[in-house]
Amino acid sequence: MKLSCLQENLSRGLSIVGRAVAGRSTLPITQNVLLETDRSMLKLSATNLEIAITTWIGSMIEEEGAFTVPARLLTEFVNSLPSDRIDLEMEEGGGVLRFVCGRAEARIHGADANDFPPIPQVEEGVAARIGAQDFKLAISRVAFAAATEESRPVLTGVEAKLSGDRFTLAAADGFRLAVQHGALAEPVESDIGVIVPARTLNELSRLLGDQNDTVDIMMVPARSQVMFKIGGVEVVSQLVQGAFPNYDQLIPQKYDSRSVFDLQKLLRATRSAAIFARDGSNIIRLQMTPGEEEAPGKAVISARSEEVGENQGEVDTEAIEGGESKIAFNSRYLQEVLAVLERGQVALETTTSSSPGVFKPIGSDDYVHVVMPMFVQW
Amino acid sequence: MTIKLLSPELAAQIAAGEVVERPVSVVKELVENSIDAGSSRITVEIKGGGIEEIRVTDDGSGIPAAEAPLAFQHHATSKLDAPEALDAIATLGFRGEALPSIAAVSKMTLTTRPDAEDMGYFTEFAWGRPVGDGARGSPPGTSVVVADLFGNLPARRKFLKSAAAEAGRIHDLVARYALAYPEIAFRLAVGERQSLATPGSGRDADPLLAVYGAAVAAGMLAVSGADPETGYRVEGFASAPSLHRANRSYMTFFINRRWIQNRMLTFALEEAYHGLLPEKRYPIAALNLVLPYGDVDVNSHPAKREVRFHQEGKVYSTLQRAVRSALVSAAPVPELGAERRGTWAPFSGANVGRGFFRSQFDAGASGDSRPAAGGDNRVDAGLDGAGPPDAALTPQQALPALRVVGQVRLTYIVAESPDGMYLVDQHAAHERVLFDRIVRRAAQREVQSQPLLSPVAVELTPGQVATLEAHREFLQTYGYELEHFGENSYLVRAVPAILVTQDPGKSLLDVLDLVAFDGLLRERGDILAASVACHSAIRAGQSMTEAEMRSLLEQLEVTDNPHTCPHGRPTLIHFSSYHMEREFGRR
Repeated sequence: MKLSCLQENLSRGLSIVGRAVAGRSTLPITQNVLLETDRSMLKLSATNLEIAITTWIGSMIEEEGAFTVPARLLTEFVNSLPSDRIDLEMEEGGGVLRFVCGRAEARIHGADANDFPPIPQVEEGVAARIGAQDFKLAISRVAFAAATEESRPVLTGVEAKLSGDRFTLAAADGFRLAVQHGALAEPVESDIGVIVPARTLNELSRLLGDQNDTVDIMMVPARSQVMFKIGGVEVVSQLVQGAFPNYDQLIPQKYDSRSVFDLQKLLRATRSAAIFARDGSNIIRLQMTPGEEEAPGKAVISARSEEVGENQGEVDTEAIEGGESKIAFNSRYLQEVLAVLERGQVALETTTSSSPGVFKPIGSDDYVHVVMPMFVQW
Repeated sequence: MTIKLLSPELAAQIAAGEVVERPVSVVKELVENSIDAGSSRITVEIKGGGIEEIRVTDDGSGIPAAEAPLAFQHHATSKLDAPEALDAIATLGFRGEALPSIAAVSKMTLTTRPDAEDMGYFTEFAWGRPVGDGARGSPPGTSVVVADLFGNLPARRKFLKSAAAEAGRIHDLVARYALAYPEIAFRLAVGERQSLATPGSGRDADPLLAVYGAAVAAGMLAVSGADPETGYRVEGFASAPSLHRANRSYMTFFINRRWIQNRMLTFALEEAYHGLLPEKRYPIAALNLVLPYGDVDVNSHPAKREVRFHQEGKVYSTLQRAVRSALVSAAPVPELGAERRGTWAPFSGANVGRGFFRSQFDAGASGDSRPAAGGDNRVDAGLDGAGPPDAALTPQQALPALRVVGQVRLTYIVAESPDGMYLVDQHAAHERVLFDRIVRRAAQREVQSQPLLSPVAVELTPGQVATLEAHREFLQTYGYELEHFGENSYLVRAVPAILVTQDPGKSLLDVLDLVAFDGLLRERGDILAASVACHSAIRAGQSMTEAEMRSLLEQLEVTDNPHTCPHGRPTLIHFSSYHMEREFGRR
């Protein structure tokens, strides 16, 4: 293998695939990055066996070949180089890849490319297309609600349903449920329902960045793997096998009380309360009182800890429908849902203080977040 | 007092005590007799945890009417005829103690009919005295009814646990024999409820399914191996490394299909899993060792629970190798997605990284009110490997100011203080911190319960049901909301808030196992607090940042008893400056 490429291209490519490099692994070669000539490009791949990322960078190929070198070492070395041309060459006898960049030179010991786990190919299969920012928004609003505990694998994933020109992402961890709907860039021919690991979607969300392009989604017919194509990057991920719980029945269809908040005001009061909640119970209490006649009403957001003290904040609501209500949430769950809604107004729908609370952004029917309240003595 | 011979009645009652300890011992003796009689169907029915009534019915060979009265004499057995035979015992029973011992402490009726005879025969005893016998129509086989157990020994009865707990033990026993004898159809009825039934199909997988349920059965690996030199064989099932439990009670061993308890075998099995299971997690297994009858002595314990081996090392290595090879051959070939992360409890110390570093001993902290624990012999004793520490003996003693040096083996925190070096067990220390917090909260009755969006159903064993029912109120105090859901199923509707990062069903099973296992603590409430603490504490093998370690030590300093974890293990070991200097020959 012998080729030349630009330092900034190699650096960028390595930072993209670097996210798939295994941390500590029983298979040491997964801590390497695979460098491979592919027509007139240099192909970079990394995998931690659950997710694989591949990207291509422009290069001058003099001699075809493939080799793997430790990802972290290579990335740090390349990042330390000046913005210049880098020449790569396999040494005679193999086993060592030589890098020359200006007056810097390095020899890096690596491993044979044949030992690298094969990156699954998803050439054909069902395809769909989603706008990058639509997808990114949906991921940000849903993926955090997936379970992190591995004992119920389906809940560590996000269910993606594609049907006609609509998509739905849903995640649940037993205590809360997030569902986001959106429009596909192009309608799908047949309906698809798969469970994608939340980790994959989080990586994807990072790669999407500010891109305004579209994401192509391809699935092998057996539905064991999925590939996302964004610009010049391919992400292949395992799918979670199993049946995702039927969540429709978990979304309350009616409410006794509905309070509309300015998101920023509610978030600020919640963050203050969270400081007090975290040392003790992690419980944040919300008490909503409708206003007299035309007045909009108010909400008291409070937390207390036996050790550090207590906190109470009052927030004006934009509107309250129905009577007084009170509900207590785990502070993390409350903060997380408010954080992903970012701006605008949010409605909190409740029935009793022991039945689920429903958060919905105002002005859009696309998102529903259901949180189970905590039992507290009021 | 004058010395006199015990009355036969009293002597019988004393002898009975060795064999018949509790209802489960009766069931064991009767079931073993039924197995020895070549039965293909054994039914056990109990009422009131076996205290009110135990009924064991089989379709075995029966006892000829002429011999039946003899069966109730001490040391009367059909299973042994010459002393040499004692060296090679193939039957489960042989001592001739069981029936007379049980008869001495209960009202007992035996009805039996060998297949060849037309008429059955019954004999009845009350507190060891015959009260009637004669001919009686009965199906072929033997049926024994034992009622009012220990009715004549109120003292013994006082030591029995609740009916549910005794029923749990009986279930446990019948389940183990069902595993060892797949060709026998076992049925256990507790009151009106059928608690276990195996088809007697002869297929090993069937009792496994009946006893442990589909989820566990699917995760079990077949074990089969032999030592070519001795001919010892091991057969049975052991759980794949992804399946494990919080206590050792799921490891079952049989020697020539006799259920035994043996620490050496337990150890051999755990060794086979070495490096495959998280800390303090144990496999599920049912393994039968096939040895020549002469190579094992079962005659060393009245209840025959313990055995002695002729070649202990060989037994050990045969078992360990067989299990290890089953585990290794089942290990998946690395492939995309095959890598499974362990399910370590995430470090839930909400306080990590906050508060200033009080422990810096050069920052004048040593001038505060906490005295240095310079002369703490008990902690020092750990260095010399002296006897187990006893929490009760530990004076309430504050820790000296500790400075974090680093972490060893991802398990121990190294810290120094003016009086030397400390090794802190990170799991034990965190357990202590959480334990104190949980107990404090529970005392304030501040329930922290997080309900589930949709309830999770868990399948429990009768033993776990007994534990759950016995501790229901405490479970509630800590935030569990559980609902009975038919048979041995329960719905988990809410979990303690501290456990939200865990799988609700799995954490409940762990908590129940720990509660059942842990008899060390002062009060029942503490047991639960300790289980919950243990469950959510940082594990060994988890790397900690310096800030986390510092925070943990700070929190440990302010606990009531920083020297031991809630189970009584030490949280830290002290290497005194004096000791180190002496070891290095500086003094």
